[in-house]
Amino acid sequence: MNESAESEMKLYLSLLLFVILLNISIVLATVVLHEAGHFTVGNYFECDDIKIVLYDADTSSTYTQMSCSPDTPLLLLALGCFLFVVPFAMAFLILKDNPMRHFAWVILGFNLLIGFGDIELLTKTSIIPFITGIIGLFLIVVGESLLINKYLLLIEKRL
Amino acid sequence: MLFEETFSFPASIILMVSIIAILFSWRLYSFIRIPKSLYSLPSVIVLGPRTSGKTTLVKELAPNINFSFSHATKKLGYSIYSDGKKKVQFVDPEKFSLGKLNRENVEEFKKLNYKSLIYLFNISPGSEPIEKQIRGFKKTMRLFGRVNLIPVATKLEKLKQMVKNIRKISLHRKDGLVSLRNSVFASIE
Repeated sequence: MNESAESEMKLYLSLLLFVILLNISIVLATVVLHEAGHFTVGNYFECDDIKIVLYDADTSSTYTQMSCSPDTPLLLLALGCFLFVVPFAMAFLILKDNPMRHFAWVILGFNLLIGFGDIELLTKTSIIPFITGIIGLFLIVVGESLLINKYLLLIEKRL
Repeated sequence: MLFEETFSFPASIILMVSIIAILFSWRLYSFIRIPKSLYSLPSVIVLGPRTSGKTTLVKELAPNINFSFSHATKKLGYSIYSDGKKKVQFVDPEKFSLGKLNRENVEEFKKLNYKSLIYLFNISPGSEPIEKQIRGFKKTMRLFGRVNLIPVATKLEKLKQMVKNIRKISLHRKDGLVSLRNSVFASIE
C-alpha cells in the first residue's frame, strides 16, 4: 500500500471509530431517556419503588420497574418511552447541514426497536410490535446510511 | 410492573456497532471501487447543465451504465460501448454541477483518457437561461483546452447562431443519436 492510500485508509478508519463512538453515546442517551420516560410517568401516577436498571446481570436485561395501583393507566406508562426520546430526536433535525441531523432517524428507530415489550403490553399481540420493530430497524439503517454517506462525502472533499 | 426492553443495554451497543460496521464497509467499498478500465479506455465525457438529460443521453448511447465515485467529481456514471473493433466509454458526472467546474476538478476529469466532450444544452421550459448555458459552454471550452467538443441540443433555434457546429438530437424520438455516436467513434484512432 502506498503512502497516500495508507493515509486515506487511516482517515476512513478514524471516521469509522468516530461514528461508532458517536453511536455508543447516542444509544446510551436513548436508553436512559427511554427509561426516564417510564420513570417520569410512573412518578406522576404515584407508583412506588420505581427503579431504572441499566443492566441486570441475573436476567441480562435493561428495564424500569415500579409498583402501581391497579387503576394506573398502563397505556400512558408504556407510552412514557416516547416522552423524552421524541423531543431528543427532533432536536437533531434543527442541525440543518450537519451530518449528525440523521441521528434523528436512528434515535426514533432505535426507540421503536427496544420498545417492543412496551408496544406488546399495549396491543396484547406480537404482530404490531413486530411491525414497529421492522420499521425501527428500517429507520436505523436509513439514518445510519445517510449519516455515513454525509461523513464520507466530507472526507472525499478533504482528500 | 416491569417495562423490559427488547435488548439489554450491552446487546443494543453490539447491535448498533454491527449495523454501522456493515453499512460503513459497504459504503466505503462503493466509494473506492473504481475499475481499472475507467482511466484507461478512450472516453467521452457528457457535460451540461443540471436536468439537461445527460444520464438519459449516456443510456441511449451505451445502455449498461455503472456508477463509481471520485474525489472531485463525486459520482460518475460510465458506460462502455463497442462497435466490434473499438471500445468507447461514455462518462456521465451525474451529481456534478457545471457551476462548480474549476481547474481542480478539470484535473480530475483529465485523469480519464478522454477523447471527446459532449456538451448537452437544456432547452426545456424552466431550464437555466440560454445565455448562462452558453457561458458555461465557453468556460468548459476554456478549461478543457484543445479537445473535440461536440455541442448538442434538442432544439437549435437561437443556439444555432451562437454555438458553432451544434448538432440536433432527440432523446424521445432517438434522432441523431447514431450519427452522434459515429462521429465520436470517428474521433478515436
